Amino acid sequence: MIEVVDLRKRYRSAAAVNGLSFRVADGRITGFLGPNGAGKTTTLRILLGLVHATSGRATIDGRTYRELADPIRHVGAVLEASDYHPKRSGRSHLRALCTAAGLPWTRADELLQFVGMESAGRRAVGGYSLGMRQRLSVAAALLGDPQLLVLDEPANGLDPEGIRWLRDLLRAFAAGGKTVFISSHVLAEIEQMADEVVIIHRGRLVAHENVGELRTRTVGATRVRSPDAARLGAALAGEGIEASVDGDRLSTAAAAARVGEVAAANGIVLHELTAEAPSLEEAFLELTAGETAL
Amino acid sequence: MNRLLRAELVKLRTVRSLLWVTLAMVALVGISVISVVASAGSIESAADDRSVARISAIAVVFALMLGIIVMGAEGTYGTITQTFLVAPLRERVLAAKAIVAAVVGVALAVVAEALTVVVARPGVSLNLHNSRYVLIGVFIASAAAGALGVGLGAIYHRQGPAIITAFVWLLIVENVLSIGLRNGVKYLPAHVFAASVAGTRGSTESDLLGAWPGAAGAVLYAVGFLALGAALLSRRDV
Repeated sequence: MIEVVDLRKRYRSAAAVNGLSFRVADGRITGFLGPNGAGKTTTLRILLGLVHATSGRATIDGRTYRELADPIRHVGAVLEASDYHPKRSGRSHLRALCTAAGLPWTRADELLQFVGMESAGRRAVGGYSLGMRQRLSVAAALLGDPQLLVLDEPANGLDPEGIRWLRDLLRAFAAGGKTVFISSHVLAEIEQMADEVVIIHRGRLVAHENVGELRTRTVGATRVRSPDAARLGAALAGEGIEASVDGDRLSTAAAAARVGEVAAANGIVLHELTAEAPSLEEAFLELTAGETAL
Repeated sequence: MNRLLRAELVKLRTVRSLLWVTLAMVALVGISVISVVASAGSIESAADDRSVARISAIAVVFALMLGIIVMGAEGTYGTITQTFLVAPLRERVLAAKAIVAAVVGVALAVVAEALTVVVARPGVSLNLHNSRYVLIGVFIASAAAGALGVGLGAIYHRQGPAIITAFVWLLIVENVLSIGLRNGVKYLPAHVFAASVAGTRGSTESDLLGAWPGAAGAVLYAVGFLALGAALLSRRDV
């Protein structure tokens, strides 16, 4: 289990992480969301022992990363895809990691095959695309057959096929009872695979909930197309319902049934009445209002 | 520790830095010793023997560069992140790199000395007995320079600035300091390393320590740079 308790990190005058606390349960996929600069990467790097916390603690199964014996057998991490020597081959990179971890070199070849890079693995990493580097990062993370995967924006640089590959891989990983903690700005991806999400904003916890529960907390939208949209807007306002009108289109947070009733009562013709379910993105934007840049 | 040592050797073997450094050193030593053989008739004194043998001390500078690359390249290319994910105890990583750099430094010294002896012995009748302390000193100084380079690489966390600093110090700073320090100049790092490969006892008039105090000083400098590098590395966010 990942446990973060009152974690703080200051860079000179700026607080990157500011009293953050949460727990990530075993055997689940947990998304880690927040706008740019929210403190996601800093938190993950503190968890992995790469960045020193100003105060507080971040532990894995009750121990800091430095305290783990043979850490890559417990935790696999996918961080920046640029962290490679450009003249070293992907295969040699994995072999060096295998040697340091006491794993046989055959493990490197197995993982290269697993991520679909058995031939590219012999080439220097400097010639790899960003997507290939991400695959290599995933291979490196899986070398020790860990119980926990920590991923920081792993979909960066992956094409749609690569994103699907990653999603299937993480699902299969979690299906084996293992834990995935993944930060991403691709909310649709997180929505499709995560069981729960931790949302942070300005270094603080904003929400930590099951994805489904988070959606229900968010109001959906009703969209209407009508040749009489302006009159419908006025009729809704008369009922105390706020709506925005743009030409023949109207949108409101009110339920579609209620909008339909008001339109019928006023004899207003509707060409379209659509109830849109709340999405994780809407929930995210509501929770981090004012900091929408992802 | 054994795993980390082997991993560092794998890293060295799988890029060409070691090859280029070795080739550059061989070229420089080769040109230097051939020039001496071509211009001199034969060696006439023990001092001449030591002077020719000191050509192999070029290995010390290349060992320093290689030590910097062993540590600094990890920061330059960001591979230190994955290194610390596998081995989060940073002091152990630094120690492994220092040992490997010291061993490679000795290997460079072996190559430089072998080349010097192979060319100079028949060419100018180099006397190995007279130059033995120089050759031993080059071994020690190359090992110390390799380890010192790792410390310097850890201090800077980048290979480029560390290499530039080393050369600016060797070529400019220490010469400028020597004007003001007079007798104290013999304790500056480049002079200490020079003393370790001089193969002489040193004297009160000389601006160098004796060979053994020089060798001890070179090792102390290496330990000092490694200690400072370890202190900074353990606190650094990567």
